[in-house]
Amino acid sequence: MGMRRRIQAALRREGLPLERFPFSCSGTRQSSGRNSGEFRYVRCYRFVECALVGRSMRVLASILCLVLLFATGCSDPAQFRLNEVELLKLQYQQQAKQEALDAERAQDVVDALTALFGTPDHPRFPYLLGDSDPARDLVQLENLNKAAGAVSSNRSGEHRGLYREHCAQCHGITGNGSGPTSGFLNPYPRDFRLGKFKYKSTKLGQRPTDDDLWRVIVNGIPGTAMPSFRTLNESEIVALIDYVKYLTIRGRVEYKLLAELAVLAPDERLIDLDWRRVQTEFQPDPEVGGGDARRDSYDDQLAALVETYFDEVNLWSRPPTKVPEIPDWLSQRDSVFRDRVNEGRVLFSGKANCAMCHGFTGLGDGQTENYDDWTNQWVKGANLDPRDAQACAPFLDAGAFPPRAIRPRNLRLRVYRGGDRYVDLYRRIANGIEGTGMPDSTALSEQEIWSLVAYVLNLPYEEAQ
Amino acid sequence: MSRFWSVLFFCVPVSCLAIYLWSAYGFAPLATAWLPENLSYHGRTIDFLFYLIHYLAAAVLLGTGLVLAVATWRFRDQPGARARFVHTKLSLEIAWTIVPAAILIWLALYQMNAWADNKLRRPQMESAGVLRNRPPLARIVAKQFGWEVYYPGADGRLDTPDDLYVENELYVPVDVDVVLELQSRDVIHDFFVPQLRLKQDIVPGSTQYLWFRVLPIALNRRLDFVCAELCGWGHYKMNGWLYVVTPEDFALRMNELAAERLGDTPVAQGNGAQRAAELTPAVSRQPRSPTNDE
Repeated sequence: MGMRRRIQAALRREGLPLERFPFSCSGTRQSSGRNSGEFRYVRCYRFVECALVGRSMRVLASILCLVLLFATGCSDPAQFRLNEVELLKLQYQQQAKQEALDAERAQDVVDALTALFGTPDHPRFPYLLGDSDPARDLVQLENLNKAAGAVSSNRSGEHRGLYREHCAQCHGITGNGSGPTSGFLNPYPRDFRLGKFKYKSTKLGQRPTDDDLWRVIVNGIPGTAMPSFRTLNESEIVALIDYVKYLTIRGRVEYKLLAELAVLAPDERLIDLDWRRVQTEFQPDPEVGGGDARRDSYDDQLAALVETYFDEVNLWSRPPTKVPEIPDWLSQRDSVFRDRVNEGRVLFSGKANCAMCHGFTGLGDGQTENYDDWTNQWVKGANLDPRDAQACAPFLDAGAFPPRAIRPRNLRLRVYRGGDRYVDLYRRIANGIEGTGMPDSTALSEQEIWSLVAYVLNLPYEEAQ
Repeated sequence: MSRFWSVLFFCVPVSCLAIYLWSAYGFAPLATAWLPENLSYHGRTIDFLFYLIHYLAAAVLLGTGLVLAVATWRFRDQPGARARFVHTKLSLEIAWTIVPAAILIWLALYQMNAWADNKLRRPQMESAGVLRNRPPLARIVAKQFGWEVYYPGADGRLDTPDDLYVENELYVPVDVDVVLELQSRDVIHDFFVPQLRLKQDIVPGSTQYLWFRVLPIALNRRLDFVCAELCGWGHYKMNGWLYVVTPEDFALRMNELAAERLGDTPVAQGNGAQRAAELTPAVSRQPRSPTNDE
């Protein structure tokens, strides 16, 4: 008897309508009894039928769907990630004092940062001096609230959660440059936490101005994955600038706190928040949780923490030194500028030594042995060879990017990452580029730098010699 | 049970008609289901063809839906009725073959001119007594994820040191033949301006030209241009602004860009852009009713 006929016979015994049988079977199998092939099919069919028709199953299915919906809709709240790469680097540096750097003690850093700066959903900025705090000009809480949190928009169409809408895919919630897409990108997205920004109008080691950040957000960075956000409105860009500064300051304070943690004795705490919690919860009692000695050490810790924060904020509150503005003769006599190309060519391979990295033809084919500061921060700090993949592996596991040697820019592409205004190129040459091998040019006069600018701007249109 | 299928078939034309009227009268959420307002000359031809084909297809859909409903009702299974073999009329068969064929051939011939105007016959201009292809107003280089726009600068030629570069911002003079040069840096992108009825794939390694002429009613409007080819995870970020300005404002904006490059003025949009932005209504899509077609 064929398989199909046997199943039909079995179905008839079970009292199910034959014409609704959904399977079409071929082949034969010798079997008998309750566990034979036909019964398995029949039970399978009945299950499907129950699921489709049975009322109790329908209710169950609805409940299941609702549960699934809730489960997918509710995930853990967003959190800032601890700088585990830096922690690992400090552990490498301090083999003997590793006990000061275990995860439990690093939790003090997390707690201190949360106390100062809040969480990605509820950012905070510690205006410790009240209303007159200079940090109020630096970062406005209103802007932070607009940029932080989950993506949403209100009835008038105003967007919230701007950072996660536009930036976090690459730069990550923490601003560590480790967003979901970061692994695909070359160059890697910027890690704000080191506080170094490449394309700015200020000298090496100084903070960028808000205008510099504005330009990068509005224009994007040509030749990289950083797109232009020109279509955002002004208040949105301002909010994002403040949020970038917030993430940067938070990240730099984190670096400092980790460094402070590394030099502590094993019995010292960075900040004894456990004690503080006891104090607030059960009314101050001198004898509870350690007595005066613990209170004094807590006060010292708090003072050190506040000092670290103020150091950082003062650095950002100080007005940065801008390089000389563009000279008048340039905007008036463009032809004078063109005449400088030959002088620039001599400087390029001579005194200014651009050719060492950018190559004599400007194709960017010079050295390729340098690494940027974001890589050197842990590679050099832990005394590793960046080409040794095995030695670097623990750092990559902790969240570092595989090291990539710097590629000097090909100057013949007419792609200028920091902008193609004359003054942009002037600043790149005069100030150098923060965090990269591009040095500032203290040995060159202003006139010589302008000649180099003229030569570089002409390079894409010049034949290679 | 035997009437079930005829009722089901009848639902198709009825619900189609209901959805159609719903959107035609601009009720949410179908108000924006129609083409956005047309703002270019060649868009008129394209819209005419689009709506012609749309209404032809609608008529065929309604007709076949009704015929199916009527046939399944009339020839349903009835007690005592026997199935019989019916041979159709030859004349009817010939008619419903020839009529659609004629419509399709007519459409195929008619659209050739529209296609050639849009894709083959590039606008020309007379220089030194000779007709030449009009040079591009700008080069647009698509990349993941944005649009680099290069203007030729004062000398009118691209690939010279005075080229002007701005990202995601395109200025177009109104009522003038405009040619754009399209290139891609990485993958296939697609330059799409819905209001101008423009859509052109950009294949890496090749150079595409695209031309249009903006209607005077679009003056001082700001339109979106977007990527219409899924090009990667950030595809949705590829939007820029197209400003329709007078030729004078266009020249003004070019001068602004050149001055900005030479000087140290902020990068924010110049006066030309701001003026256009102020005048631009926030929503340029309009619901379209079947009675106000062009």
